[in-house]
Amino acid sequence: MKGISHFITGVAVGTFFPDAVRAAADGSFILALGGIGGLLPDTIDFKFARFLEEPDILIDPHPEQFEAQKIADEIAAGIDRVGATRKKQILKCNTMRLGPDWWQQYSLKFDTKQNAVVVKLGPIVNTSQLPLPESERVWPEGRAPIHTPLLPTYGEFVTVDIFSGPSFALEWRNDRVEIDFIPWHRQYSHSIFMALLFGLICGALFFLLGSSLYVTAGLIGAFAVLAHVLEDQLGYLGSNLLWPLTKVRSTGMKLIHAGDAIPNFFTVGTCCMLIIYNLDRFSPQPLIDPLVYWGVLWLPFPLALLYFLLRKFRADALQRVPLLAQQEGDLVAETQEVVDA
Amino acid sequence: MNTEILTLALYALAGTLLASLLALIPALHVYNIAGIFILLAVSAQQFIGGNELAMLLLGMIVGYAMLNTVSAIFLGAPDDSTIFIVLPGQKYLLMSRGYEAAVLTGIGGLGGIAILIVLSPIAATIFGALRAIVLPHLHWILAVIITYMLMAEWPKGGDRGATGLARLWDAWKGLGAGILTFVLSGLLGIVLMYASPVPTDRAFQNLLPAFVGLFAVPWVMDNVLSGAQIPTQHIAKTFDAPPSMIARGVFSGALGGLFAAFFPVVTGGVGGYLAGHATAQRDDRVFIISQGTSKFLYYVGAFWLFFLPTARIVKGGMSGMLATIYTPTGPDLYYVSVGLIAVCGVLSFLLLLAYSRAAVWLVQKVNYRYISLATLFLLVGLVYFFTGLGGLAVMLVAIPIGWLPVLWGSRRMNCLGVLLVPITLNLAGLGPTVAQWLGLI
Repeated sequence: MKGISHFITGVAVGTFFPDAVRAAADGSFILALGGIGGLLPDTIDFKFARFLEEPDILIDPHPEQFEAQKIADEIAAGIDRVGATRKKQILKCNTMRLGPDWWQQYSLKFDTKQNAVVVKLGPIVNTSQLPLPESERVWPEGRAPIHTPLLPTYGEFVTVDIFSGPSFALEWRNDRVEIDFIPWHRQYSHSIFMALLFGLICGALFFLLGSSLYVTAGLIGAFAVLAHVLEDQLGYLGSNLLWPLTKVRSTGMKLIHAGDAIPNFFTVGTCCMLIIYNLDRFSPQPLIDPLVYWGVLWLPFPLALLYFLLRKFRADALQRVPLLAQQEGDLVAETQEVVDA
Repeated sequence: MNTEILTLALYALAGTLLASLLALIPALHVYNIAGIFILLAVSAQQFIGGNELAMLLLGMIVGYAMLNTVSAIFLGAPDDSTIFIVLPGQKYLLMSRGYEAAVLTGIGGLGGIAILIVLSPIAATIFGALRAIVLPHLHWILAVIITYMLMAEWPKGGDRGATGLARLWDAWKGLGAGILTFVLSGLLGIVLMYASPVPTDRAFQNLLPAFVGLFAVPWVMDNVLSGAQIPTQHIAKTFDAPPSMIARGVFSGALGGLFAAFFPVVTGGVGGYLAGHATAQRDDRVFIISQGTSKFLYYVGAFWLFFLPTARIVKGGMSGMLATIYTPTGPDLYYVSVGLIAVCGVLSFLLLLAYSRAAVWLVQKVNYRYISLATLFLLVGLVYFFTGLGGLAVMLVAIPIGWLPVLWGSRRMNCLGVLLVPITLNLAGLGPTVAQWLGLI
């Protein structure tokens, strides 16, 4: 889900605590904890974890000496090395900056059907990823065969253009190499452990500040993180829910993709309505008639979601995309969202 | 009654025509002039009645909300509400499509009118109840918006560096600059609220120098220094946005604009930004349309709420100033105001088409660096004219803060700390305490 959906869910979670709502009406900022907790897992990943990851294979091309074949060879050799040694490798692709607003795009594809890596040069793009007209050069494509069997993965070209480039974990699994996109994402930060830890921190902080609401603060923090983690389970890729007991990211419920507009809008709309409803419910003189509020005003949101799900299931039935490919595609989309923001 | 409506309509149309001229002057906010009008109206009550003055101001705000896009896109001189339009707008300008960008914001504005008309019969019930529910909670809701703004800014670097810590530092430079911008602009806002160097007789212009320094001057100076060349502009006969795209933009902008019109301090730009995230919009055209709608509803919607029968809501500079001398009464005046918003809005849209063509002519005939230099002198002159040397001092402090995002590639939206921080603190009852810590009172 998009950042704002997680954030507003966290805030909505906080409003279910009557003492927090009443304290908020008296000037407290306790409900902001929910928002912080709601966005915390992605904050940890996208602002810290990604930079602390140490790459084993670093692709750092020069725009004037771009050698697509050499890059493809290097990546294919890395995959074969994992096949030979069974040892995990982290592949990182750096971007090529040309100026304050200009980047040289290139892209790579893991062709699992033909067991090959394909690399090609793209156009020059600005920071909004809009190509500079006529900037695409005729440049030889790089294609290197892989001699190790691959698990199915995202089959489209992944573009490397602006800000920070993507990384991939190449790992031996079920007698094949799995190409795990953005391996630093949805690991320990998206676990029950993190929910407990953040809850403890919030509770301790309020206790030290002398607030009597330290238990509530702890619960709001913990449930807000947990809500984020649970929302992510709705997608194709879940998360490493039981870290540190488990080491891999689980499969999600495959209901939505992270960037789908309608489910995100449903979440934000429903959470906004929940917040208003709870603020009213815990006020001295409630004004809202629940029947009209949920029965009429809320109705467009579930109807839109229903329409989306019907269309999605129909489309899924017609087009069968391997699960791993869908999961990695979701990660690419989620990273893109952070770039766009 | 018909003569009375006709008279009110004439006042409103006059207001729109006046605002259409004012909107072309960069950084000259409609509130700057409206404040003067209201002061004059107090001493000339025998010449202009309360309803006439209200409709004159209504026409002005409609015209301004639609037409301030022109200076933002073509002169690169944004204010707090057009800060989000100027980036895609200038991008379009560099792609020879400046006119199209201006028209797309206008279409967004027309969508905003449609939204107001549709909502007008039920607005009093909805907004009246909503105000009663959220009034005790405004401080933390604003704090939540601030938290999201800061947390949802993601790193734009970090690829290079031998160690993890070096990469982390590289990534956090821009984020740190964003947070610093927010903190410094927030401090500036607190100073302006409690110990402003702007003379007290010009207190209603208090924020003008800060906005000019934070938003307009850095952008214009950037255009001067970079020597941006504007390519030949194309006056498109059609616009490249299908109805579904317009609907998405208007819908998203309406959510943001109404949110901004209702909540204190949230500007149209911030409202549009939040709504854009909420509705998962990515296309530039949808974004520009949504910002047009959001900006229109932010200004006009806030003033429209002032006329709501039974639930009169005073939000925004215009109704805040007018409420000191006038109270609208009855549903008749409310529906007249809705009708006049529509009439003035359509007139403003037509003026937008004409002014955008004129602006296209200007940027093609005159070197853009000279235009930017002239804009810069105009900005400084206006600040001096309205706020004196005290205002110039505020502007000089605000300029380096506004430059931080330009230098570090962080979000310019963080400059809105100038409004968000002091108001949030005041709503929570903490403003005076913080001002005391800072030695301001």
